[in-house]
This record gives sequence, structure tokens and C-alpha cells, in this order.
Amino acid sequence: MKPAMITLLLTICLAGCAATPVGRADLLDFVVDGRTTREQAYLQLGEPSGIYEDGSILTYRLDQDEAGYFLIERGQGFMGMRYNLVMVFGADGILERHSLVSIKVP
Amino acid sequence: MITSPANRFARLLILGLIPALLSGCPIPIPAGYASSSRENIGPELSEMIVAGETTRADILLLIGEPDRAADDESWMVYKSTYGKGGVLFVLAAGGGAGGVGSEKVQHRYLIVEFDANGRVESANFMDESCWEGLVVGSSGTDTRAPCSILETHLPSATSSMKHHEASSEVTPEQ
Repeated sequence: MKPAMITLLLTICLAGCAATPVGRADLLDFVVDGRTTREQAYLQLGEPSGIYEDGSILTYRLDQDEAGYFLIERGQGFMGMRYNLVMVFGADGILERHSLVSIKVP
Repeated sequence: MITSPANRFARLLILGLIPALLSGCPIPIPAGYASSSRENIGPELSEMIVAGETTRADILLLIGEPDRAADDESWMVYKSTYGKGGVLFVLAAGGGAGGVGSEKVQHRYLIVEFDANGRVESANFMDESCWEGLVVGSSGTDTRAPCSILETHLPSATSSMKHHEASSEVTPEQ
């Protein structure tokens, strides 16, 4: 096989890998006021990017692709992050309120 | 007229630099938010934040996590950076390229202070516009010289905002 053909095939394969969406449409389905627990938040989403008021408020950084939402590591500013999930828990550890804040203007 | 060797050299140097500068390709920098900036602190927030009523949780649910906050959460700072446009001169030589330029940016700060009960004591917007120098390396990485004066006056996470002189009520820039 000619080197040019091999290069072309490799390029096509790598381009396909780069375009694979990583989001999950159901990532936030577990978030329900009055039902979700703080433990569930940690189990489903891992360590939060922000913790406030002695752990009663948790925040997570998210972005979105065609497949759904995915978590963003805390990095430089808000680069690559479109949403901030804010969860407010009561003293009993049950979710009282939550908000998916749009950090970037669509 | 007799011209000294030093003067001749100076003239040649200047004549050589002018083409080098002019050969840089000027690329306009479009207006828009910085990639690392939030875009959700507009003047409409001032109507949604009520001193004595709005809580820390309300602020977080409304705007998201702050850019900076006191260790005791007595204050939070939200910041956005909007580039109003500029120009970048790109020079290419020997297989590499780089550039220098300048961009006018607007830094907007929302500083929220809370009382001991976690309710908003004050919420102030501050706007600052200035020119930032920009250097782009051959690898594409850019280095900026931040021009914000307010940024350098914000207190550290362990400091109280109350003792800071930069806190003042400013009408948000439209």
C-alpha cells in the first residue's frame, strides 16, 4: 500500500476519534429536589469544584456536546465550561434547590 | 555634504526596520469575551439582588461559583473580561511565526459582601477598560500583560472586604 494511502487512512481514523462525543444525556437525571442526597451527588458526579456553607452547597462545572453533559476539571478560569450546577442541601442532606447556571451566553 | 559612518549606519538601520515592521501582517482581533471568562454578570443582576434578603445560596444559584471568595465566605467576586477589539501584527521567518499586538478590554467585577447570617450586605459592580499588550509565540501560546488596576487591589482570600478601599458603588456600564 502506498504511503500516501496509509497517511490518508490514518487521518480519517484519527479524525473520527477526535469527533466522538463524550457527553451523557442522562448525567443529571438523578438531580431531583426533595429526593437527591448529598451522597448521591458525590457518587454520580465525584468531587465538586466548589463547596460552600460547610458542605451544604456543592457546585460542579459542566460542558455539553451533542451527546449530553460532561464534567469539567477545575482549570484556568471558565475555559471550556458552559454550565455550573449548583446544589443546595438541607441539614438532613436532602437536596432543597438546584440550578444549572449558564456561564456562557449561548 | 559629508555624512559620518555613524549617521549612515543609523539611516540604514532605520530603513531596514521600517520594512520589517510593515511586513508584519496586521490581523484584527475581533470583539468578544475572553475564552476563560464568564459571560453572565450583566447589569440586570442588580435588580435581582436585594440587600438584607438575598442569601449566599441565592447568589450561587443565580450566578454560579465565584471567581474569588473569602475563606470565611464573607465576600465573593465575580469577574468577566470582554475584548473590545484590537490588532495583532504577525511576523513569519525561518519556518516560525509570532506576533505582537494590543487589545482594548473591559474588566467587569461584581463584588458581593455578606453579613454574619449569610445575607447580602452589599453588591457592587465595577467596570474598568484598558489596553492590554499581547505577544503570540510560534507555538500559538499567547502572553498578555494584564492592565487591570482593580485586580491588583482586590483583597486576598483571608482578608476582610470591609477594610478594603476599592469597594465603592458604581453604576454598571451599559
